[in-house]
Amino acid sequence: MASTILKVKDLHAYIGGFHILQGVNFEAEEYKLTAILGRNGVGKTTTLKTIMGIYKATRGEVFFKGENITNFPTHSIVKRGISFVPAEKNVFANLTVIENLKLAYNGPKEKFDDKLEMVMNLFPELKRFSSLLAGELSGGQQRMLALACGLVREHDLLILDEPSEGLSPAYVKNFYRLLRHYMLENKKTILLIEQNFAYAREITDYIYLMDKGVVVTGFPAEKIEENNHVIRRILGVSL
Amino acid sequence: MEKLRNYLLPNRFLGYLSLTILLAIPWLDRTLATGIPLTFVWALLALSYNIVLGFAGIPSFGHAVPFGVAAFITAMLLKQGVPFLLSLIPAAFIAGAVYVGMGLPGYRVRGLYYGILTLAISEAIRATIEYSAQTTVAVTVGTIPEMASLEGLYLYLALFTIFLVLSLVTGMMDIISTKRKRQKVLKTLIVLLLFIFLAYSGYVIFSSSATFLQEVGSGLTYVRILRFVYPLNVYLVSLLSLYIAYLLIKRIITSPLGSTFIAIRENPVRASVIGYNVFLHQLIAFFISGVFAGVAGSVYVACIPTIQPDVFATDKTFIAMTGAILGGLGTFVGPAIGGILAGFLRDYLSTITPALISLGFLSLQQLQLFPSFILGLLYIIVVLALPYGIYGTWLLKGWKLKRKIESIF
Amino acid sequence: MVSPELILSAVIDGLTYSSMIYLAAIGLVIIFGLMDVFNLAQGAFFGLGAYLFVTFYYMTNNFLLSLLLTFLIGIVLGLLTERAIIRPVYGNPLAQLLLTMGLMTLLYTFMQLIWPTGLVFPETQNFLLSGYIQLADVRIRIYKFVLIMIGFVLFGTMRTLLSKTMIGIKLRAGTENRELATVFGVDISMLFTSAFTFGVALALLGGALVAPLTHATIELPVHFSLLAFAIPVVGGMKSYSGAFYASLLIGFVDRLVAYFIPQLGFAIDLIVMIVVLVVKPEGLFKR
Repeated sequence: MASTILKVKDLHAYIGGFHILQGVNFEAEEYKLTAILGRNGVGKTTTLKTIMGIYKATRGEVFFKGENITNFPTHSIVKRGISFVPAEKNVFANLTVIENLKLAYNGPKEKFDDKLEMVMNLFPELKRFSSLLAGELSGGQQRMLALACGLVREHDLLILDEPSEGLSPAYVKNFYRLLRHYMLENKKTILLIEQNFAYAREITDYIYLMDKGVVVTGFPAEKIEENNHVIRRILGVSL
Repeated sequence: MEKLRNYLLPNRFLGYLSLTILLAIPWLDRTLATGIPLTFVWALLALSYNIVLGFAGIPSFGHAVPFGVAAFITAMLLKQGVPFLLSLIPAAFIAGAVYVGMGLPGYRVRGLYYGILTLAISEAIRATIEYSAQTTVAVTVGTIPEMASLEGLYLYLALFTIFLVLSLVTGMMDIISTKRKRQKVLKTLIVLLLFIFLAYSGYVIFSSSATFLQEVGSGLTYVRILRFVYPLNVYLVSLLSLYIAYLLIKRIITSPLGSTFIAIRENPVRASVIGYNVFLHQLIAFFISGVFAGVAGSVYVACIPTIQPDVFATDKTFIAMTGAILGGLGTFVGPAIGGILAGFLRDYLSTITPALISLGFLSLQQLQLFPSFILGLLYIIVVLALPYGIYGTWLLKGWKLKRKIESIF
Repeated sequence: MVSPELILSAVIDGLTYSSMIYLAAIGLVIIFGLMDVFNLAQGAFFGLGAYLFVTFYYMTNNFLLSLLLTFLIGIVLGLLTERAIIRPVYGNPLAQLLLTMGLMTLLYTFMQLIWPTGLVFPETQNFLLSGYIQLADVRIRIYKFVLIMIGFVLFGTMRTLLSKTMIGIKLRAGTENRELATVFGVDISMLFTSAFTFGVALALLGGALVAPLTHATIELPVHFSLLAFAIPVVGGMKSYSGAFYASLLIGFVDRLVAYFIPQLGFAIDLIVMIVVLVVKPEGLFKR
């Protein structure tokens, strides 16, 4: 029986006086890839950041592995097994590639080199530039580094905010395949926000649609065609 | 005629009233006449500081410089026999120019770094004057002739009468324009009480002046004339300079120039893109601020006739800052209120100290520092608790309180 | 003319002075580098350290113990200050400036209140502390060499700490992007508190270390406040190695001028600061 690793209940949040999250409800099932879709500005990133404790939840709760982690300090949420890769400003420009990864890594010291090797294989370009400052990398390389940091961190749940942004289409296709492979191989769960959903479509298990600060509906990926009218209404396009 | 009408608007009531009361105070209690002028100096200094930090948004920690410069120049000119007002004007303008000089590095240096630089300049000037002189550099000014004049007294009486009348008229207009019956009654009551008080003050003022002038007519010694008139004139000069400065500053800030300052403060990049010469405007702000700080410095000489290098000490800047912040940066009245409060605390807390001597373990010298200590503590608490200052927070949140009170009536 | 003894004296004094300035300023650079808080009270803490140390020395007659006690008090004060004054105004640089300036004034007044006449560090039997050495024809205080050594050791320690340790990486990451650091699992709150506490404690320790040479006077915090402020300006606001080189520069310039052109006095430090600010506002060194 598949269990819920992350549960978000009636989450409310205010940013700069604006009521951005107006009661977000959804669940992420273990070992599955869940995607949250929605137009710009509906509150997708805010939802992720509120889960991570970066923004304050004024109402509602977040449960991770059964534990209520609402409004916990970010670093302790990370410690509990959630790895978050933000959409932008997601690496330290003044640290080297290796130092970024070292900082992200939070497991036993002896296992670092192995973990590093594994992650570098996913991103061969980073291997070449490992002693450069992250700020000296190209935009695309920085994104790769951000993803690498997300992966190198010990986690059960990986949350990605627009991971494909800034990466070349050819790369993205492959990346998603590798991601799914990684998830199944290592028994992880993935939650992501993605504008370029086309690339992620084949690997997604469950979809939620967000609009105006709430999750409107959710359904398994197989049922995309059935729900096309809702999708058209919320996103403005078909998938 | 329209312009004249403007001066009689009901909302000016509070201003005229405060001024009238302030004018009356030294007559009612002579002991207050000697200490309060200095408090007004600090209020003026705070007002001038508000221009550079509150309106133009530049953190300057060297506000003591134009103050000290003007103080020294005024003192030296007075010693040469130059009349007070004539020494005030060049001193203030030179102070403004000097402050512009301090503002110049602001072209290359921004924000925090600039603040540190101004702090260093201020300290360096003080230290240099102290170290380079063989003895204490001090300029002592004797009695200032204008302050001993009878003309000052006449002026005082005239002003009191004018403002009394203005308060009366605007007070009545305010009552007339109030719609709600309850409020109207309450206001009439309050105004009535105030005017009884003012009438009494007027009586005291005019009768003591009359007695005094009679005595002068029948031959009063110079010393006794001095004792009567001097503190009153100093008080008048101090209060007037504060009031006039306040009016001028208000005029400047509400003018297009002032709006430019505020625009620059809020978003310097945007302002420069639109076409404003940001740096030039900053220098202008420094000049204006420096001039008013200079006026404060000159009036300071009238209050304390011996000028030492400590006029450049950071605690002068600190009082200006405290006053401006306590009262409310960026408001008009705020810094004046804050400055008065800060000055009052600084100068009058020392009256508490004799009581503390009885506690036994602190010497007199140590006790003189106690007010500064309390002021510093207060300053920290206010910055933490009331980030907009007393008046500023009132402007922001006070309307709630006002509504509540009004709804009761 | 200028005798070799005079030059020797000037050079040694320059090095000593540089060390003292570095001790006063390094905490400031650490705190500013990580937290973007310019602790205007740093020099005041430095002076306080001197006073406390000498007081403890009178009580215990033990150099190391007095140092330790002063350092411990520094930690307590750092914690208190961070909690009560810095925390509430994170992200508001103006408020931070104003508050630390208030704290600086408060501490000055406090020191004048408690020790109105300053404190003299007594003559001791200890060779290192109070002894002299004869070099060429000049009598030089041994303790000056002690101070010089301490300065270099501190610099080396800082360097290693920052580049080779995990703490150093966390410090640099936290300086760059607080939010991201938390996402990377760094307990930023504790890091800030630790860094600030450490910076303040370092200031007190520095004051304690210079006290045998300078004694505890009210001029000490005033003088070293401004010198300490000049260091991040000249050396680069967030440059840890820059702080060291800047200390050397300012220390030497100040002492050489004091020896050979005494009329300039304190103004020379200011001139250097202005020149650097105008020519290279970011400071002479990058990181």
